[in-house]
Amino acid sequence: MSPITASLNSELIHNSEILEVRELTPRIFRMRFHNSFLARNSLPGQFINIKVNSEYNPLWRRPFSIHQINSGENWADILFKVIGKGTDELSRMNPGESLDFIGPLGNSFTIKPDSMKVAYMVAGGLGIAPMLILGHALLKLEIHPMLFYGVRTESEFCCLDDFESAGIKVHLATEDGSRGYKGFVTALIESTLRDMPSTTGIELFSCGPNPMLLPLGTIADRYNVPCQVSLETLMGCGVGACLGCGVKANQNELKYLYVCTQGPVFNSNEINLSE
Amino acid sequence: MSDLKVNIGNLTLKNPVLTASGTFGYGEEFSSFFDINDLGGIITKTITLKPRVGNPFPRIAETPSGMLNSIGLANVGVDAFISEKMPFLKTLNTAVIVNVAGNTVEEYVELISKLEDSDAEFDGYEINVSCPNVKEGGVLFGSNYNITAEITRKIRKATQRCVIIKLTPNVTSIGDVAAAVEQAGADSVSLINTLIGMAIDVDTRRPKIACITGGLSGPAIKPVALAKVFEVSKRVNIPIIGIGGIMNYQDALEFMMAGATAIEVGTANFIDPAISSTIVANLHNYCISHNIRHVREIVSSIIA
Ligand SMILES: Cc1cc2nc3c(=O)[nH]c(=O)nc-3n(C[C@H](O)[C@H](O)[C@H](O)COP(=O)(O)OP(=O)(O)OC[C@H]3O[C@@H](n4cnc5c(N)ncnc54)[C@H](O)[C@@H]3O)c2cc1C
Ligand SMILES: Cc1cc2nc3c(=O)[nH]c(=O)nc-3n(C[C@H](O)[C@H](O)[C@H](O)COP(=O)(O)O)c2cc1C
Ligand code: FES
Repeated sequence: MSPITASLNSELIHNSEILEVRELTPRIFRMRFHNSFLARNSLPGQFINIKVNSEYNPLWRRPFSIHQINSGENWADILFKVIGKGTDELSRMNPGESLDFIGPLGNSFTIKPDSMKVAYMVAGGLGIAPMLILGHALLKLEIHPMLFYGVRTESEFCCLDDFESAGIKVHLATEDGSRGYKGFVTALIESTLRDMPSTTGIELFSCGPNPMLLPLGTIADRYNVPCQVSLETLMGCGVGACLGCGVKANQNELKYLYVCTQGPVFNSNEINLSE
Repeated sequence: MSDLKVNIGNLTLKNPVLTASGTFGYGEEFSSFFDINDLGGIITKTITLKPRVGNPFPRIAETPSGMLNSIGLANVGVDAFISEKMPFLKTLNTAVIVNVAGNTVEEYVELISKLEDSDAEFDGYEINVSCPNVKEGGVLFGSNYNITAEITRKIRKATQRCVIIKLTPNVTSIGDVAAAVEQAGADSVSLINTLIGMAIDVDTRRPKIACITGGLSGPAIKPVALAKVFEVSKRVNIPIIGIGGIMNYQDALEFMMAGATAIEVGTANFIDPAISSTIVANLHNYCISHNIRHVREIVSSIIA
């Protein structure tokens, strides 16, 4: 009698061969793995949920934005910063080893080629991760994106070459003034919008820490430009089951939206990030 | 072939593997990962009379080999459950057990009457008298066995469907509660719900979940859960459903050997959404390789 096997019918559960793990700048790594499904089907803003080892420490999977895909060579990249046990384990994995992940998960940035003329991508810190796949998608639709990218200090910038070689113009900001505009990237974007004769046709696409996304939403409202933001929360499951990943909806009655399934991308005025 | 069927009250499950309330949504969330009909059954997220948005965030925290949650029974409410969630559940060819909770004894009865009077198709109830994350009712009910027995009696009168009472471990004697519930007419008891726990971020001195305390689940609680199942198995004759940190088929077997007729997979669904189906397949393989004709032979087979 042949043993029965579980009837998995999922294109979302993967074990993929790691092709490369490279430290781009101190503590920021890019991992490349072979996966034709992801390379063909990922949308900008979507994420994968990785089990960094087969043990119970850490227990949960760890979510990461899809950074870049190549459907010709069947690989995908994530970009991550080592901040704890999970990301540390990930950074120590080697080419040839297998990456256990679920994805692509979540919704994606909405691109409306008809109404949109200019795309401003606004990234804070590791919020740069989904901007490369987004930039490539925009270019394919013949929309020329511009990147506004802020970090604390110059050494934290990464992947600038990838954007420049794609023909994406990059505007940099550092909090300490070590490179580019001195101050927050939100101030840089505001001064750019202020100087425009008209903001019609401009859209903002953003990813970064909440303290950056909150003022960005206010600026977007002030200049009347649509603004999509990609959010990060703790995630217990990534598939809509644990109800641990909520953000407040921007309405009078208390309501939560769940980042893993209803996000991670929201219109900035759909959500309430204050407090 | 080995026979994986087990009986819980008037229900025959095609195998002993169920999914635990609050860890498997309303089923549909997992249908893109595997064929849910592989399972013995699914247990829905707890349903209440009125919709609940749930507790403030953060609601979850990772702990060593486990997690804390204080979701607070966020759910769509019974009306939306019947109109929006039932249509999918009806299409399933596996047992559907609706988990319910109320703030008062009357609320439990009203909720059950609503479901009984609807044309919803499902197979049984799991009664949550043991959620640590709601201010009223919740653990309070579960730890008072007079009230738990009263709820059981009233529900028993209100339905012919299978009635499973879900027990909390946060009591002095879970065996006493189980015995009282059996007396009151329950078809089965399921255990354990989460253990009350807490974690603090030492940099901010803030609790890691907004409600300060929450329910601990996952592999960390398995030894406790196993001991509770064993304890209850000495006190009742109705079938026991074992819950707590089941991550693979070996864990499931341990619970069955300790006295459980069936098991529920909870937190593990978060880590591997298809794990419950893998456990069914592996249980079957275990039975074949150990020449076990009926999986129920494993129940209480511990040699002690
Ligand atoms: C949709 C989504 C996409 C993401 N994309 C990326 C990405 O492309 N690149 C990347 O580097 N990171 C990304 N993250 C964040 C990443 O998941 C976390 O950095 C990672 O889970 C940390 O795991 P760890 O075990 O190393 O750290 P842990 O030990 O779990 O945590 C270290 C510290 O960071 C805090 N922390 C952990 N995760 C978060 C979070 N999401 N928000 C706020 N605080 C947190 C913890 O509370 C703790 O204090 C994303 C998160 C989400 C939800
Ligand atoms: C995020 C989360 C939500 C839960 N929600 C419910 C619920 O709504 N009703 C309920 O009876 N139990 C709920 N539980 C408890 C589980 O059903 C189960 O009893 C417990 O988690 C122990 O099993 P485990 O260790 O396998 O997760 C929840 C558990 C978790 C982790
Ligand atoms: S992470 Fe579990 S519901 Fe979103």
